[in-house]
Amino acid sequence: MTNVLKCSLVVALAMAMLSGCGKTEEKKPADGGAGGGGGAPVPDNTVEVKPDAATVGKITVTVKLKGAAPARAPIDMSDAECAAAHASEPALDETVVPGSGGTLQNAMVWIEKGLDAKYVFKAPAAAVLVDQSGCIYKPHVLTMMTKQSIEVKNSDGVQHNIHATSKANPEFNFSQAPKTSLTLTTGSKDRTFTQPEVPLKMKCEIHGWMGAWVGVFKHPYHGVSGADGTVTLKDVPPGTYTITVWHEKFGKKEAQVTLKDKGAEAASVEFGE
Amino acid sequence: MPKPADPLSDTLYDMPTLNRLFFASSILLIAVTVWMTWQDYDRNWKHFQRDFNELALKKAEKERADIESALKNSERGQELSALREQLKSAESVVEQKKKSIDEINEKREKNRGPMEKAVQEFQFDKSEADTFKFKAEKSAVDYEHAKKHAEELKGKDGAAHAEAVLPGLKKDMDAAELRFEEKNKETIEAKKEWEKFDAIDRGFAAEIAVILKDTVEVGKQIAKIETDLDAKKRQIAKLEPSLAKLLLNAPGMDFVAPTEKIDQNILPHFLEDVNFESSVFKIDRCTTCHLAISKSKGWTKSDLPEGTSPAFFSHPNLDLYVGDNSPHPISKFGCTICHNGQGRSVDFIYAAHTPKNAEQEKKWEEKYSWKPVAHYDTPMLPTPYVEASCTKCHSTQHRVTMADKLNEGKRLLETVGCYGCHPIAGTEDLRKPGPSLYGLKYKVTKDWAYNWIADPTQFRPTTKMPRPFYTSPALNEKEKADVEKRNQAMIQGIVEYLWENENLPGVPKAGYPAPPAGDVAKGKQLVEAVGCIACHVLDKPEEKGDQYRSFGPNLAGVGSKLNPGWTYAWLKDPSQYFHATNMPNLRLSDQEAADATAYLLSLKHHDKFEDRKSPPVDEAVLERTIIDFKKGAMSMAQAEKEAKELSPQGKLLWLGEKAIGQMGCFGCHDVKKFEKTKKIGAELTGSNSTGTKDITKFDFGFRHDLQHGHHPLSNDKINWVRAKLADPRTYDGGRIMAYEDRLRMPKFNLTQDDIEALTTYVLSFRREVVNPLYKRNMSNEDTVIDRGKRLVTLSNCASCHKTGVWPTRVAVTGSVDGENNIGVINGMNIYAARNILNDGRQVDRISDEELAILKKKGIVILVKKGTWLKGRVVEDLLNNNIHEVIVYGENEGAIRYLVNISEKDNKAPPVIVGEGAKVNPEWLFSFLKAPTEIRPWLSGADDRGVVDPAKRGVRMPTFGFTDDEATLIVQHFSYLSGERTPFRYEPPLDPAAREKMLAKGKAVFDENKCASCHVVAGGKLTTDNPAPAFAKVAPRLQKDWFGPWIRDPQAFAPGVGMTSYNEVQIKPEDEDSLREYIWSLHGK
Repeated sequence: MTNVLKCSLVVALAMAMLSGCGKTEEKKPADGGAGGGGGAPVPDNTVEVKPDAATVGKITVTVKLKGAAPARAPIDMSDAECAAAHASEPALDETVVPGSGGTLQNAMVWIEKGLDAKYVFKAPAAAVLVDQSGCIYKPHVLTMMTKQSIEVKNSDGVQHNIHATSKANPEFNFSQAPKTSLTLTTGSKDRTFTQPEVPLKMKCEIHGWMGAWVGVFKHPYHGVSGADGTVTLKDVPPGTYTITVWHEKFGKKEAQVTLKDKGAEAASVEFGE
Repeated sequence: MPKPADPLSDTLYDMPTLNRLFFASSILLIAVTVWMTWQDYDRNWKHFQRDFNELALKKAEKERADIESALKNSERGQELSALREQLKSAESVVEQKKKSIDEINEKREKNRGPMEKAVQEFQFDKSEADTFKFKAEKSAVDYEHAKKHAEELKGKDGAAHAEAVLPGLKKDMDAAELRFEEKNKETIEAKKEWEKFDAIDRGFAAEIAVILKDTVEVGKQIAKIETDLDAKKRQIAKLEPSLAKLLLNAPGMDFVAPTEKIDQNILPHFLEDVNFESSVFKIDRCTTCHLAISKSKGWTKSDLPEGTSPAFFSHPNLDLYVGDNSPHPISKFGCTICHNGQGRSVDFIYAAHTPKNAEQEKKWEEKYSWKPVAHYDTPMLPTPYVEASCTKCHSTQHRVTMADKLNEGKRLLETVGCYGCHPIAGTEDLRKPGPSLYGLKYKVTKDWAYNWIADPTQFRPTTKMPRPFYTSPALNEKEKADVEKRNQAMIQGIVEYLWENENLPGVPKAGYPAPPAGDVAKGKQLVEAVGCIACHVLDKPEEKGDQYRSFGPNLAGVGSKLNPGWTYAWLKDPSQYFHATNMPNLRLSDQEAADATAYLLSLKHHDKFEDRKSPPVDEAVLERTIIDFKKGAMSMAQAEKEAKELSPQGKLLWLGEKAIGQMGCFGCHDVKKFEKTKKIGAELTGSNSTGTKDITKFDFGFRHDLQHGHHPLSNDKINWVRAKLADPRTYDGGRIMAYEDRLRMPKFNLTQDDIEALTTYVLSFRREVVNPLYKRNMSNEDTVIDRGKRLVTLSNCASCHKTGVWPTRVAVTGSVDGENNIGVINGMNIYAARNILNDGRQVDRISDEELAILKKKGIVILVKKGTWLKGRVVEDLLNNNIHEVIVYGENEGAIRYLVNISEKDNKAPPVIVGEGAKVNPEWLFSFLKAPTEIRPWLSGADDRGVVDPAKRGVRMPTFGFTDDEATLIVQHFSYLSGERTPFRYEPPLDPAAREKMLAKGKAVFDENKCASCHVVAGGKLTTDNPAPAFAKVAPRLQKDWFGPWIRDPQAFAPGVGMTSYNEVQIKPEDEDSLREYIWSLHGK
């Protein structure tokens, strides 16, 4: 019965919010250059149920790369302006980027199974940034929470378009004028992602080499391996978890971790041919 | 001590003995009566109802506890406890003022006596006044009558008398009137008196209300929060056992108003055949025990405690069946229309329940002493086969929505070609399932043909060709040896016959000329890019591929089969060899065809099939077999004589022809001289429809293990069909019989799932008259969509294109019909919706007023929360706070997932969801008949027309549709896209206005850099992903389609590279100008 109550509450809230946002729709987008529009986010009335802060611990996952790291080829940029941005130093292919000490960067790490369904998390207020700079997406791989805002920035002097080839979320594809920025929220015309989806590719149709990978999750336990090839998942409640690591070239691998009260566990996954 | 018999008694028997006898028999009678009453009373179904009641009670109590604890822990709970606090304090305030309340009450009480007296006075006065009023009225009327009467009689007889009574009447009248007026005055006075006291009383009540105000208000709020709880409490009270219920349900009392009773559903329009050609209407009493079958919440398996009887589960698919809002509400369809079984019975066994598997059967045997019902023709279909019933009413459709297993069975039946041998209604328009054998000798070698016929799976493990000459494992060793020897002779005869009876016009006697030299690597690139892989698997011999990629044969090892000249000619134009082939013409250039030939021939068989030879002919077996066949029509001596007279090749040819007729090869293949031969198999539809055919007409041979409710399934007919499909000659096992009399059904290459699906479909063949009220009503549009869908499936369009219906947009709206409903804009009419709202906006989110307008026009349908909606459940969407959902077509287009194409979406074939609204029908017709290039980059040609094989993309092939077929496809797409206007008049534009529009359009065009992706003469592409040339847009696209498309291309074609343009980039008022400009680029 609890569920029924909850559901009807959620529905009622949703209704209230939606009838509200139908009116804000009339607003013209603030940013003229792109299709995203500048709608205010739909107020997120989710009631958070967070793990008990007294028992949470952390899990550190190291993503290793088997064997010697392959040499990164320079990207062949057919657009003169893009190429000019990298005149001094050629941009290198970002598919396999080794980290320090035989590790691998740009791998997504997240808790796949084991998280108690009772927890409800709210998206952080800060937006994630997707910067098109030098005709490359920065970052190349990113993770975020559902309903979290995305700031899409074009730092270049050329036109880009940003095409999210999502399946679970509504797909969007809009062009973005040079030196502009806009934020996708739950209320903007092209909306931020509201459904978990991983991996989700963003690409530019004008510049075929441009691609970024996004992971969208319902919980905050995710990350992308950085220069040291590790990801630390913090504030994780005790439990047994299946952790998935995904890399755009090597695919998925899993690791099992059991975390005790206030524990700190480590796991590692190795990719390579 | 018994008395001695009294000799004087006038009876011959002994009374005491008799008394004892009577005593004993009356005791026995009472016992039997009690026993009988109990037997009659203690019915199976009552136990179910009691168990259910107990379960429901437990559940309700748990739910109550849940509500209580939820209330305690939630915000509302906090609110509630705050309210309770408030109530307490309010009550304490009242407590303090108790004295004044008492005082007021005392005064009020004092006032009450006189008040009631005044009320009584008033009421008495009023009734008296009413009486006087009536009397006054009556005397007035009497006087008037008498007066009139006297006037009429003036000067006639009796006039004097009439005149005389008048004064008396007048007096009476005046007196009555006076009396009434006086009494009326009194009444008014009495009322005033009463009102005085009443006002005082109200004053006191108001004083008390002021004091109690807070407590009452808070109490109301508490009650509001606790509505659920109260409802639950009421429910529990209803379920709890009580003495009254016990009495009402007691034996002998239960005819009055029992709470335990049989529930029945009468279906007066659905008739059931009974004996002697009479029929009765259907009555289903299933809900007597299946009490929760239509409950929408809380009665699924997972909601109920472990071990709950499945009889108490709700129906697993209430959106589609049983539910009031479903297309098949229980009130109209009952249960046994779909499930079969004896709906009138309320006994577990006699309702003819059928277990779905051996495990369940065992359980039932233990629990209910279950056994199959003898002599009952239509026991319940085990749940995995229930879809077989859909065709009772859906026989008008080629494809039944949601009946996936049934549809798969039908697809399989059409693909493996059951109709080649069995006459089956509805397959008459299909081509023969196998290729033509008219020119086989130009295609393969004799050795290959022999080994292929002997066992096709040896060459191609995934083949659809069944093995005609196989020996059932049910035969004994001796029989097997004999059968196999004769099979060998038969196959050799068939090959000889096919080689001698070549009949392929246009092919030189020497066969096809050798192809030009080709390049294997280029051929590989071509085959992988141009679209072959949409229908064929190339490199993995074991891979069956999905429905789409198993459409054409697996080509692994094809280099060990084909003749190079034949291959080249086939690739250039498949229909010249086989006019009815499904393989379309890819319009390959000579060099392309040569390269593809070289590549295909390089695909050698994994097990060196090409090295296998045909065994030497065993003359003795050959002759023996011929004699055995001949003796059926003539004497033994004659048969032997004729056989011996034949030359060695003559023998092979004679047996070959016989074998083709005997095995029915011509059912699937075009074979010379067999063009008009009748199919060899039993008819599966019509009067002998498998689903309704009497079980006694199925020959089980010695497979007793399949009969009489034995495992694996307790339905003999289903067992028979499944075993037949798994081993078609199994019923020959143990029989002493001649070779030529043995069963002939070939062994198909079927998986267990295939067998299940085919069994379901075969069981759906029924000879049964169903009231047209129940039949799926097909409009002309429905029929065209259904028939078109079939042609689209038979042409495998969906392997390359995303097909299906328009994206359906779900618009979550406010409260048009209460918050339980949401509006779904039927995507078909997305333009119409936009035009009606007339502000150029996308209609993904709309206001209540707009929704009301659209709803009136039938563009929006309101669906209830929880409704099934193209595979998604609306409730789910709402709970996830999704504002807009686009539900796409039915398949994703298999080819898009193949690595080399999905990487670059603009190399993939276009999405054709909504094609009918996108393109002009005339254009589509001509394109289907003769495709032309729309996306020039797919040819892989550069500016100078030089083709880079690595850049080549897919190519729309020429299917060779007839005019009728092309028309059907065009209509199918039109209807599917919601096109309802066959003609629209467009007034010509004023030339000056048009010039202005073109200028404006060009400005918008340049500003948005359309030419940086779209091919325009003189334009310079600055993109990696080119887009279609504008030169061919005008005749192709519908003008209406342009506006919505540029606003949100991904909504129409997921994954498309086209970016969306908002109202700032392209102003709504400029849309038409831009479109005019683009249309003006025709031919440029």
